[in-house]
Amino acid sequence: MSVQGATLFSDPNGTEWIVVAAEGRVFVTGEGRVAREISLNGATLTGDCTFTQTYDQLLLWRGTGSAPLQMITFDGGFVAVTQTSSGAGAGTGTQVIPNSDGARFFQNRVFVPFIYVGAKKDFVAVGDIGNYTRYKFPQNAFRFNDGADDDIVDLAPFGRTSMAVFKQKSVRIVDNLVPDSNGDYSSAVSDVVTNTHGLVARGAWVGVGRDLFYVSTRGVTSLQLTEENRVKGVDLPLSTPLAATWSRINWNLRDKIRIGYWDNNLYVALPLDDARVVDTTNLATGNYDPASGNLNLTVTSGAAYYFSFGPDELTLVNGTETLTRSGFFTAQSTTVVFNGTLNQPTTATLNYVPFYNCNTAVAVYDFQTGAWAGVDETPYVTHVKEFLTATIQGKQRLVAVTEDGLLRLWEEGFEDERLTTVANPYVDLTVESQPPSGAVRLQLNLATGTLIGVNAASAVNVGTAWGTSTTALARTNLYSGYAGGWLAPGGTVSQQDWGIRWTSTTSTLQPFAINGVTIMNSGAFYWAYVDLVTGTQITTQSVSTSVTTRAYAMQDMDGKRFQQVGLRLVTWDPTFSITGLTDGVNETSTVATGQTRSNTVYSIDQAAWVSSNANDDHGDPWREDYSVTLGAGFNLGSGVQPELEQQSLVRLKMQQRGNSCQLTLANTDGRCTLKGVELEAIAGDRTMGTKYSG
Amino acid sequence: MGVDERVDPELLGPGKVSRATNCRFRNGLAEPRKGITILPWMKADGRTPFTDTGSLAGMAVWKVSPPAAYGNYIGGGAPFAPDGSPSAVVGVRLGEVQNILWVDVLLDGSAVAAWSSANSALYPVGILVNGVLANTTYTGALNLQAQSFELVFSLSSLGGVLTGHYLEIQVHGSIGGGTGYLTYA
Repeated sequence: MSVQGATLFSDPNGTEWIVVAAEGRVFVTGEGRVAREISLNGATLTGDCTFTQTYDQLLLWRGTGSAPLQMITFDGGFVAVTQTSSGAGAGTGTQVIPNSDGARFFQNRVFVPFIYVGAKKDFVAVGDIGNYTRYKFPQNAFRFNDGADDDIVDLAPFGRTSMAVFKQKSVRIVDNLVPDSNGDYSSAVSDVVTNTHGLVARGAWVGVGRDLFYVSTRGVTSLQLTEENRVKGVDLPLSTPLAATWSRINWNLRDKIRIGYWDNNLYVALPLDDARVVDTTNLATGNYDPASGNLNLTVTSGAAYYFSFGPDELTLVNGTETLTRSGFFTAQSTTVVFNGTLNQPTTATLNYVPFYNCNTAVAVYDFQTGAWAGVDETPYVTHVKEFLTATIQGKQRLVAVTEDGLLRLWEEGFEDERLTTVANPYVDLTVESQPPSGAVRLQLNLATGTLIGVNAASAVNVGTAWGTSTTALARTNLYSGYAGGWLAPGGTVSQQDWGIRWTSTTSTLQPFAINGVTIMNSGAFYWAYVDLVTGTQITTQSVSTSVTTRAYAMQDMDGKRFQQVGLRLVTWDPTFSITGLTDGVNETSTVATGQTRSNTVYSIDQAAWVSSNANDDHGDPWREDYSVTLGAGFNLGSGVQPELEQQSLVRLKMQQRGNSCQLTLANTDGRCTLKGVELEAIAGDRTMGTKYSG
Repeated sequence: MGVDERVDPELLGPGKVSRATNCRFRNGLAEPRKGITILPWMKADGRTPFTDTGSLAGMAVWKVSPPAAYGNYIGGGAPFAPDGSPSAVVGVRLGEVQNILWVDVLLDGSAVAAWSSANSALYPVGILVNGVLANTTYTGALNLQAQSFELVFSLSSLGGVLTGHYLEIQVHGSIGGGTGYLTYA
């Protein structure tokens, strides 16, 4: 179920909150405020939901099968909507506001698409002015159906007196929404904008100035408000240049598509391809039982997995089902059983599927350049459920509620952040002072680890006695002791500044003790500082990029031999590769892979830079790279700009034949900006035929 | 300046590329997009993946030095107020405001609790919010809405000393439990 909906909410004090519904519960949080749960007072939330702010209250729409709820205060939580009376001239509604999957607030009244008869959602109830609890039927219940078979998807206020009514296959405009003396829209008129397409999903539209952009099955389309405040449709989809990406959309999941607008960019969250993320860790390891041929694997009940059979597998038993073909399944219990060749290692694969049937990428349109910037596509990061434009540190920022239940800030810093499970927990143990002599000082693994004693008079280790005559020697001797044979079962010991790291070989760190006391938390203990790293953690990762240039034919239609490529790059600690693509089928060649830049090497005759910046010369010119590794011993000196990027011209040989050639520059670490491209070629074969022979 | 996937690559003009992933086109350059980060206040102990279920996310525990006027500070409500003997105080903070039902404290890896705010057969645990005792009797349904609170319990049975021991703090809420550990060296 994961995240079910999200919205912004401003309380009566003007404080902005982010409201998130997830796993059947509703939470609020805000800048600098801890999250708290808002009670549903016994009501249930089983599917996707939406919210509508009405003045200082919040309506929760739970679908056409459930009554909406209202929240008046956080403490009171969400409760059933009860009718209140309307003021004079504000309407004379008697009908209770209907069930719906969403509504819009416009002209101080709520507009609710709903099902009046049958199963067709083609009515819109308009609440009394200033009163969302009631509406008048039939005067303020509009039906948008002239024989069509499509439902209303969403409503979009547009201009002062207009509203777009988006249906599945058509778009209408309701104009002249000016209430009469009874509060009725007696003079409103409806007009069809188009019958060729509709809106794919609620929330898949956004207003940008006098334009309203929305996603239809044709692409990103728009309505424009003319100088006379008339609405006109724009026939050519904005997304036409992004044809290849659009062809990857999984249209069965079109209801997931969302649009956001921020900083002159349009962000369109899309479910591409299989619309899922398959974790790369193969959980299928081990040998088949020599008698039964079974291999039991531990899974999480209710979680989704992908498996594939190898040559040695026959079946996969998942609870009550026996699977005989590779594919996806939802675990029915905590164990699944592969059956395969007796006593042989498994050749199957089993991978966790953290997200599925969701958006996987975000297409970005830049209004300043008037062009698409391609797609943002990063596993575990770009799985947008909803876009919000929230106020962060005084600025409007684009915030995404992602499928993993996190709130993410788009376009911030240089790296992406993820919440990851520490697969192999570890403890960093640093020696803070000279350990005193004693028989029981350290034991990594209380069951079977070597019990290390201390001889504070000795400069060297002797047997299991740790030589700690000085603090410095204690630090180095600690690692050398474990490297020399002290036992720490269940983990591996590596050297760290001032001590060691003990990394578990499994997902659980074995108990350990200092001075005979079992250590269960991070902190200072006796002569050591302990840093336990377990559970989940926020990790950062570089933004992996890929750009494929246009094809360079050099104004000549004959065949060529491409011999050299030149790229002008702006880099910071990059790892990039270059691939050449000529016209034809799968005609690619690797020009370069794993190209890096050293932050110590100068391109002129000059001694290597000392990476601790000991000479306070980080900014000296002509170095390949200006990335730094901050840490103990790094000299900040007169100041360091750690994000300085270096420019370079990369010239590489290539051998590729063709009429034209494209280049793909892909970078996986740091940053790599493409500033310019040049290609050199000589004339090739001029023979006519299906393909050049060179 | 940007991406055009539709037009044949040979027919694209300067400034256009055929494909781009995680890029922006600014100032005539094809550069990496900026990062996508977790909202600042959702990190550290305030981090709350809203999809977490069945557990009290982001729970942290720490030692608190009892104030000198400790007994008076806490107030009445025996047996949950200090009994005059040396006592331990533990701070607890959850990732979000939650409905707290009861707390158990286990000693040195034991499978059963030594102190509890719910089990009258065990030594009591006082739960304090802003210095005020929230539980004045044993209860497994305290229904305390809180994110940060303190636990207090007597060490009479340990001779007033926790040194050399470790505690497992189990907080039980209406959505599930959370666990934290503290070693007293």
